[in-house]
Amino acid sequence: MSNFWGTFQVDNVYLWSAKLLTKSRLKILYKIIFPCAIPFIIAGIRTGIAVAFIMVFVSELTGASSGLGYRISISHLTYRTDEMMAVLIILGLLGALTDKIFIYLTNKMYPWLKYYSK
Amino acid sequence: MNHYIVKNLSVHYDKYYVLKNLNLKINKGEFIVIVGESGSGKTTFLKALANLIPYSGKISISKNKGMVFQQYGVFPWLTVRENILFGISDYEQVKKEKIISELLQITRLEDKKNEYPNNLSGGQKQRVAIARSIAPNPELLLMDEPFGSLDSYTRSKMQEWLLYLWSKYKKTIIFVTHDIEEAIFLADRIIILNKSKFRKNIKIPFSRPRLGNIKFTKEFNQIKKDLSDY
Repeated sequence: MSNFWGTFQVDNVYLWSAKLLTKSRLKILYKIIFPCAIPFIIAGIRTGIAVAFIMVFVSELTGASSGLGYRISISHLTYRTDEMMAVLIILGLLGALTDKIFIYLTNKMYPWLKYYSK
Repeated sequence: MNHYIVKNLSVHYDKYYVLKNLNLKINKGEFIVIVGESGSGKTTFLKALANLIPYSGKISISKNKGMVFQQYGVFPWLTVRENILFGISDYEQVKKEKIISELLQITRLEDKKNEYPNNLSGGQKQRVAIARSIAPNPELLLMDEPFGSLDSYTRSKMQEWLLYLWSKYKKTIIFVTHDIEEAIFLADRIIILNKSKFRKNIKIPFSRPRLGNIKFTKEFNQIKKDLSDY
């Protein structure tokens, strides 16, 4: 959805400037519309990563025989609050680390994103 | 043909006319400044000339034109160099390099060529936008309040720089502003746009090259006073 809405967020000034400088619609698509959509695509992927972590955790709580969700479930049943808290912290750290790695990679691929503000 | 013609130009949104039957003859190489209140249709006029919005009437101007917008139209995802190259990317490599090095030198941005626009000041961004629009060598340059968001010191430096650029490249410029001082300083001719129509056409008598000190002359202030009455 973020990607979809991103393509509608192209500032008219960018489009007008581009139209006056090139006749190529393809060039406008990949040099103007796509870069404008990138922040939205990235926001969509980051949300997706967070949701994916939650879904993995939830599914492991119910039917898995290994994994962090499973460990939390077992720790809960055996009153091992310390172990449960430790696994929850690991889960949170893994989520944060994945997000940081993703941001690091996107900043490497699109260095202008660091300075980009709408 | 030594001039461009605008004949019976009208632009309307539903039943409301933003511009109504405008006629204008623009001499090639002329520096025209259009002044008017906010909402008088100045920007709409430029957009119609640039063929960015639908209009009725006849516009006989060069297809080879560039435009600079009030908001910095530089692409934030491209470096200074890539921005200037945008309109000339299909030129031969040697020609491209020649244009880019000349424009970087003129804009005094050689040391910033690999920077992204968001690392530049307002004046530098606008110099990139101007360089990008003149890179493909347009005959006509349309400028929509390009210095409107700059502080007064930078604005005055940019005005002098623009006049230098204009004298070097001999482009026809149509410049929109609501700043009367800026208009008098830059223009060969000032046209007042008010309530959808051109109301007055004033030739500016100052010789060129012009320096900032003409703004303190009696003649300059007299023209300013005359224009303020509209």
